[in-house]
Amino acid sequence: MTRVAGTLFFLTAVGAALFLFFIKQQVREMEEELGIAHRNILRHQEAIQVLRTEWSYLNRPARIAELAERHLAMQPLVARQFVGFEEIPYRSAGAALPAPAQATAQATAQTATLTAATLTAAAQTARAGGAAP
Amino acid sequence: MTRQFEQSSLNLRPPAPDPNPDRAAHFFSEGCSAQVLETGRTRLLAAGVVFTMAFLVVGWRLVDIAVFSAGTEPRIAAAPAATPRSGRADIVDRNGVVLATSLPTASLYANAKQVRDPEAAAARLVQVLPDLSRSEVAAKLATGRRFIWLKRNLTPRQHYRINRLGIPGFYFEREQRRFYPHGNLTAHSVGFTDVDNRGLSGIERSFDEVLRDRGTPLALSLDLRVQYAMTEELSAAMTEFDAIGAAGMVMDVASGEVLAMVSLPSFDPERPGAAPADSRFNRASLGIYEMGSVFKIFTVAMALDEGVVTLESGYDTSKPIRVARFTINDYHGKNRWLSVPEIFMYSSNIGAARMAIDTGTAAQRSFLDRLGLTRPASIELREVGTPMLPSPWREINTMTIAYGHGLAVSPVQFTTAAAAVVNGGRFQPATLLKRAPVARSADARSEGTRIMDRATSLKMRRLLRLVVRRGTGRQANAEGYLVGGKTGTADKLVGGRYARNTRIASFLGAFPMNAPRYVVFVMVDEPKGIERTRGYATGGWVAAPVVRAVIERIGPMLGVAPVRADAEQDDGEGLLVQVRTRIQTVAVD
Repeated sequence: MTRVAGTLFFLTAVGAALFLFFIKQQVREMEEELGIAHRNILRHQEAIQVLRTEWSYLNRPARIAELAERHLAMQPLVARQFVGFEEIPYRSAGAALPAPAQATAQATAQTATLTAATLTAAAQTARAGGAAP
Repeated sequence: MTRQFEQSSLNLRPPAPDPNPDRAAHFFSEGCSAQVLETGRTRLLAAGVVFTMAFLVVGWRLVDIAVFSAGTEPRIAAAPAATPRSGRADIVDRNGVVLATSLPTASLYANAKQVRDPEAAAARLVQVLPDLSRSEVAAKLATGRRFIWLKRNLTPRQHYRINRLGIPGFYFEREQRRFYPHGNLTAHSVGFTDVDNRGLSGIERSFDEVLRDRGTPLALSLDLRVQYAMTEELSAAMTEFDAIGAAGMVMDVASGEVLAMVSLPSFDPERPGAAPADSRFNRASLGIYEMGSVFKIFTVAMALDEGVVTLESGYDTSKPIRVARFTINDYHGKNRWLSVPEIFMYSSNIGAARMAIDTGTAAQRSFLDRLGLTRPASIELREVGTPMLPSPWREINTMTIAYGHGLAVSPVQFTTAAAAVVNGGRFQPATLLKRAPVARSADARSEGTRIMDRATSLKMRRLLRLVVRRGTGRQANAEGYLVGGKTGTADKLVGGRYARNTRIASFLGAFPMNAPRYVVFVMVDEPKGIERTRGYATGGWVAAPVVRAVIERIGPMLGVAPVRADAEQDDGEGLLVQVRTRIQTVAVD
């Protein structure tokens, strides 16, 4: 009985020691990994910071304005281009629609943006078409 | 220990019958001895139970701590939300665009003892860094010193390419350097630092400690797009009118946030030493100027608020006012009775002066005090100008201040005060820091300190709109944005005298006037008249077109819905009525 208990205690102690050793080893390895990860994070953060700065530098309004002028057929938005919902004409029943070809030509001739001028023109055509017959 | 315990319990067994009955009797009788043993055993048992319980409790607590409750230790390891970065914090605009940042840079140095072939090393190095002289580098490397700076603050690309050259004896030293990607665009408000990254001006200086300690970027109220629009339009006007400087501000009337603060000429914050002191001078916050007629905004607002005049009262402006050796005259003289709206619209000095006299010096002083015009602006900059007040404040000062002479304030102070006039009468100090969005009620009622009646502010909106529709500010009328404003042209004091041909042209605009959201202030220093403007260099000709151009550009960006020209309800006609109350001239002497 005594001997059995003693052996049992001894084995437990050895087991615990081994367990502790392996856990400790594992922790050390993981800490090393963590250190590497931290260094990587720092390196990437610095790289991101450099890229963010470059992004900000490339987005200088003066440069964007120049690029837009060179590559885009667009103009600054003017107040006339904003139209409220109430100003968009309803299609009245039975009224002749404006000829699609004409309308498209008009739209492309200006820009792709829906301008107030085209809308009023469309409304006038619609009204004129309705009155003609 | 356990074994000992067992032994001791063995000893406690009832003793075997004595093999020698002849020896002296036991001290205790047989019965007595049994009783003692019994007591001992019971005590031992009790102690054992107590110890067992104690061990069990301790054991259970151990298990409890180790297994069940992890204590304060988090069960899931979480990375900190924002890993603090080393170095000085960034400064960003209200949309997160980087305005100032610290970057680690590498600086190249050589240990000449380890460089085997100085000639070849120099030849390869200048391929990457063409601005270095090959012979100089070779000479330096041939000296055999242990530490030689070759080039400070390399770009990441140069760093990479030098590394690829793989020359032995070349090393890098890591350094932090402050970068301003937008250069001179925000130089005055953001400021700059010295070589040791200590803030020397602007936000860099006033928030030096904060920037050093915090890991997250500091967001300013500036909007880079608005800042750019203002800078571009101002510098165009400066060139056209051959001016020596200009300042511009855009401010949110409800929150006091400064969206743009421009002072021209500007400078490169990475090389502040190369710029003249005049360029580094912040005209928008440090410069103080006599603003001229734009000040009539406050005169009229004060007279209306104090109940001295109504929109139907009027004054005789046909004769100039003579006080002591001064004569107050009108620039656009009408020589008749003018109603209050007309006085404002035609910018009559005589009318404004009479209005101020009727309101009184004490009232004027307290009103300007409430508008923050008598103390330095509370903006987050160290470069803040102290206003120049008349001392003593006599009646003649009251009259000249009515049309903006004799009291010099900074553009920041002026814009903040004007914002309070149009926003419903609440004073909101100017700020360069981004604020949490305030509830956009029509007048932001919950914000700021009330400085005048809401009704007065509503009248002022109509009057300002009238100036732009029909008065001196017509050139500021940005279509669709219901601009209201006031022109100002002030003669500059040159050597103690007002010089006729050196002046400051300014314009204060606000839009949209049905529910003002932004004020725009433009000031051009010493514009010269040109042919296009028929020789005029007044606020209406110089500054008002700048305000129009700026509003047309920033309106769509800031999400202000334009109103169609024919949909404007108040055409200002109602303001232009015959003078009902003629206020007789108060004798001035």
